[in-house]
Amino acid sequence: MKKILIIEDDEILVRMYQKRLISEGYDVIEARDARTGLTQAQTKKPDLILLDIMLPGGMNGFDVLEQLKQDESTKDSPVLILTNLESEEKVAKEIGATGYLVKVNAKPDQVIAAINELLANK
Amino acid sequence: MHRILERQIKQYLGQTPSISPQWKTFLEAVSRTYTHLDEDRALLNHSLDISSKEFLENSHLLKESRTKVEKQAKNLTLEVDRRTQELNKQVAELKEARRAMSNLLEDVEVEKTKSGNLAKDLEKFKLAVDNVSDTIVISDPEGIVIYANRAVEKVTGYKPEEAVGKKSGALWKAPMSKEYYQNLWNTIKTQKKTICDEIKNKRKNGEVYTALVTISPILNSLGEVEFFVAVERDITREKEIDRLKDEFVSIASHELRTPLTAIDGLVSMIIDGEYGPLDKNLQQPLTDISTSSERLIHLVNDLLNLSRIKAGRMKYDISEFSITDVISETVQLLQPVADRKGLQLITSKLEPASVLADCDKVKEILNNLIGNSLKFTDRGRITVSTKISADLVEISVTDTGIGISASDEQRLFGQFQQLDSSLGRPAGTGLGLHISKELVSKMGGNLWLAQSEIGNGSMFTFSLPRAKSSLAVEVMGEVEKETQQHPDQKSDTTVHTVQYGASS
Repeated sequence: MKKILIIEDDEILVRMYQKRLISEGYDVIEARDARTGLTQAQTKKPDLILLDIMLPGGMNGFDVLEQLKQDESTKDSPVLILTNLESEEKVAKEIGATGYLVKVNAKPDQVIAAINELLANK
Repeated sequence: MHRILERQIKQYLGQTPSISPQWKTFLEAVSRTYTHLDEDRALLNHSLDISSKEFLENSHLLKESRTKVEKQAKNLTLEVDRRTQELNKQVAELKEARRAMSNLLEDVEVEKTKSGNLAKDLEKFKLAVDNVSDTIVISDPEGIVIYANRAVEKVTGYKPEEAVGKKSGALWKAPMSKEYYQNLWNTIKTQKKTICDEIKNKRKNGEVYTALVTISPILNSLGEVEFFVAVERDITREKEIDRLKDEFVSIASHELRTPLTAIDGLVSMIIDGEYGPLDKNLQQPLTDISTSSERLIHLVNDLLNLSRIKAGRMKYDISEFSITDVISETVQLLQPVADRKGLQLITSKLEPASVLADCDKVKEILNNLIGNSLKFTDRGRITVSTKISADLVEISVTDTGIGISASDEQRLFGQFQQLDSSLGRPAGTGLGLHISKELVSKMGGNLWLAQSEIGNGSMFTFSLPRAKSSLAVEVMGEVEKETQQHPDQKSDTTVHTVQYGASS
């Protein structure tokens, strides 16, 4: 079973994506802040990371992404940025994001489709 | 012997009478008398002859003289007439001159009053100019200040007398790019055009403020610059309020996005049966919730886009791409919507072409135009076509919908304009066309209503610079310049990381 790590601070959204991912047959790990997310990424070795940009606790999604890319153990995990910021795709891709979706404009089905595609291409 | 006396002697005395010597002497005396008489008569005749001749001659002369006199008399009459006319004319002219003179005198009186009033007006005018809240600076053709009103002191901190005699703006010029000032000077001095722009200035205390400035060159009759008038309004506070408002809209919209994502996502999952089989009674209300949340998302997106455009924070990711592919892709995506309404959505005369623009924004514009057509067409078809010229590719969306009246055309591209919400059409935000037009124009194109008739559909057309055309090169330069010009403008992330206290 493929493991997906969700780094997202909104509880309701986490629950929503988790539900949809589980019924799609994925194993889901969650983290509500950047630091927890980084630790989870390093220890649980997820197959794909869903990463929000605006996160509490002094680190944002870009910081997480940079560290993931610097760490040998996590640098190859595909990262799908799932955010409500529209204009950061270029920056995110430059740092190393594999995909970029604007949450409010993507139905859960589209998020799943993007994850499936990224994992198929991995 | 005189021949008459000879004949009388013969008659009375016979052929050869014998005349005594006494009578002979007598007869000779008579004969002499006869001869004298003859001579006298001849003399008389002669003198009569002469007299008659003279008389004839004189009468001829007289005739000539008369003709001459008559002619002269005629000429004289004519001359008199002419002189009379001339005199009449002179009299009329004199009268006119007198009237003009009296008018002039009246005018002089009026002018005297007027100039008195003018002086009063000038005084009022000066008071007004001195007391308005906008700064007014008049400078000579070289830009040396010759007048500054009192507002200059209030706004900049420099007294009018400090400014007079100095290069205009030298005191309060803030460090804007040299190029900007060169450009400004070129516009007002060389092109002799009025400039109206927002610029940054510096007060005496060093504080930088934003001003809305209008500088007009005033030309003399030869078309040369006589002087410049600069009117400036300190809009720092307005700018700040505007910025706060935009920031508020931006943050509020972002904050709305998270709950909206949940509502929209969860409803779609419920409808898809993710949470178990769906109660038939709930199908409609859940679909309605879904439609409403989608509409709300659309509104929030539009508001965010508008606030970005207004704050100059909209990012353009310009690249070359096939417009033909983008059209086909968008049409395919919207096909289900057209199918549901029983409408034909087709492409026609699509010529392969590449444009230089922001691909996502072009998709958004196409979505908006086709979306509008789908919304306002009940039967028939929506056609997307292209037309290629040297510099531009024109993309047209034509429908067989309700059409737009000429009176509505004016409002079409304004903000929050909904033309016929009363007709029970699905509501939109009324921002779509406004935003699309802004986006297109920033990318070097234009968007317009190409054709429309009530009841007979509409055709909207937008143009984009063709890849590798001279226009494309120009637009690329503009976009780059713009990005450099607003280095202080925050991106969305900065706004939010500040808000969240996170470092980036």
